[in-house]
Amino acid sequence: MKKERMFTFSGSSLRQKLSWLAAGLVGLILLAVNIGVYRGTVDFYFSGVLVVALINVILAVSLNLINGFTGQFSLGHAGFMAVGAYVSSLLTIYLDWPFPVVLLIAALVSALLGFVIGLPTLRLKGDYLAIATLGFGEIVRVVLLNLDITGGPRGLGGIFPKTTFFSAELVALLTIIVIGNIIRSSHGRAFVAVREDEIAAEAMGIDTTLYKVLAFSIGAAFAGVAGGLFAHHQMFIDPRSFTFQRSIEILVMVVLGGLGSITGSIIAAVVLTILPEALRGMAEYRMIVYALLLIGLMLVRPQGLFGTKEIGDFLGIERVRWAKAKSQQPAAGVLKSHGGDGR
Amino acid sequence: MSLLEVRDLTMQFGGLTAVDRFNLTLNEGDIVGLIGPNGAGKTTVFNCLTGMYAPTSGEILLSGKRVDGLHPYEITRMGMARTFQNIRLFKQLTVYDNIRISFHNQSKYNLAAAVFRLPRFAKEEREILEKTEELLEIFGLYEHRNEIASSLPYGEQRQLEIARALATNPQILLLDEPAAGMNPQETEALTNLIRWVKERFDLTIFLIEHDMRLVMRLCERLVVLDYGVTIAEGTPEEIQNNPKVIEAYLGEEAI
Repeated sequence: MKKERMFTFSGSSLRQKLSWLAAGLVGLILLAVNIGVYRGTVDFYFSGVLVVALINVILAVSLNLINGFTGQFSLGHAGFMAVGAYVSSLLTIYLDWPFPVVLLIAALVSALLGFVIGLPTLRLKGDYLAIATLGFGEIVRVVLLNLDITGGPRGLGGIFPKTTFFSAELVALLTIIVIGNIIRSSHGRAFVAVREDEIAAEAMGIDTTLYKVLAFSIGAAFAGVAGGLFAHHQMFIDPRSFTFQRSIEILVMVVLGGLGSITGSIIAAVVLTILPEALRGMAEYRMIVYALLLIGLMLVRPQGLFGTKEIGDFLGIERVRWAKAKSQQPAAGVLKSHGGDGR
Repeated sequence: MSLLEVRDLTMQFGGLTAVDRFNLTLNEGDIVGLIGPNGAGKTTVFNCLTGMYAPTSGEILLSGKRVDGLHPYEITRMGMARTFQNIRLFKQLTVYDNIRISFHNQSKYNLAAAVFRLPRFAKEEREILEKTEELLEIFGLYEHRNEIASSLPYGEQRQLEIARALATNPQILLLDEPAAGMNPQETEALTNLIRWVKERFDLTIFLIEHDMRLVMRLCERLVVLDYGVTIAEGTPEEIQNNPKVIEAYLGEEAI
């Protein structure tokens, strides 16, 4: 009880106010950007960057489910993205199916692949799993390079530009809500338990294999959708868009934002997409500055910008709900007052 | 029918027989201790019972059903929970989340219910919340609920681990050296706690312990292991005077 009161009135409250201020500012910027894009006052180039940022948000949040929340080090995210991109593009080019349906199918195919890949490889841990998933990503790339229907190294062109800022925004929002809601549930706690201590998780009745495969499949599904959006934004894809480097880029966003923080992934994805563009003025020094910023941040905050915290933790939202839950229960005494119900 | 029946449980690692034809019968409400010198194979027995190891041979029956070879999570769900010798809490999580995680197998809602926040989700989450708070209060951990598990004092970490095991709603509780690293006062408190918890939750308890005072005060029956072999079984008094046990602990008397 005392703790909660201290939290509200003492030193932390300034941080809370600042957090509300920051959240409000971000909200205003988002609103302004949306109005700008809607009215067409944001220039074409910048709105393109924003779409990529939103796609990266989907990729980072979904990879965070695998790497951050479930603690399974995957380097194969670009592979799932590639599958989604190619599947959706082929469906729109040859069959002209509606875009939402196509994205859904891309998600299903990627998820299925995530499941198939997940079952055997998730017996591996840590570095070994990383290498296995890296291998998976490369296999996808090489297969795409050698198939006829994908156009091989020439790539796949003539994809309709179906991705808009708003469709990307909608999907990104859905991703955040779906993964966020999963995380804040009993299933989400099972993912985290697997990350924290697999043996203890098993002993607590959690089917760790199931949850690892589940994390992989859900993460892959959203990566597939992101791939679909990406393809219909670029209008041209080739296997070079989905190299190992791409997986690393997404991983950097997740690590920088904080393994186990959705808020962190969102912010890191947006910042790391816009930052290199903003640094264009520095010409050839741009990537050096970018790299130095990353190194600096990792030295100062090795747990990432947000650690495992979410925006709600800074705003004090979670705690309020806590207090409510407590007050609904009659004040219970210790030990003796709990009779019966031994189960 | 006995609650737990172990028949000729044998566990070999390569050429080493860690547990050799171990037998045990636990009836409802029993409180039995497993003792023996270091390296006798006590924890290996626990690991076999809870599915961490698949035994080389032998049978384990929980409420009449074969459980040897099942996954640990399946055995936990069938009503056998454990604590670990070297405390295995979810160290970086809060006390509150440590308990909440363990209610997982009692929640029935699926992923869709979580994603769409269906009424089922809200109802079960509220139940989990209430049960968690109840357990935290019983164990006097409510004040610490928002603290990170690893920041708790050692004794309270032990308590939290027991509370967490209870959250899985077990019939049988296996405690692996619950008093390890505790001073006499803490051990005393723990002895009372175990006894109280047993009554409160209708438990059957099987525990490994080196602290003889705890074992003698708490257990109705003892099993003594040495080099994987059961060398004695009986009441604490019988065990205390058994020459074989004395030999295993203190070595052969020099003649």
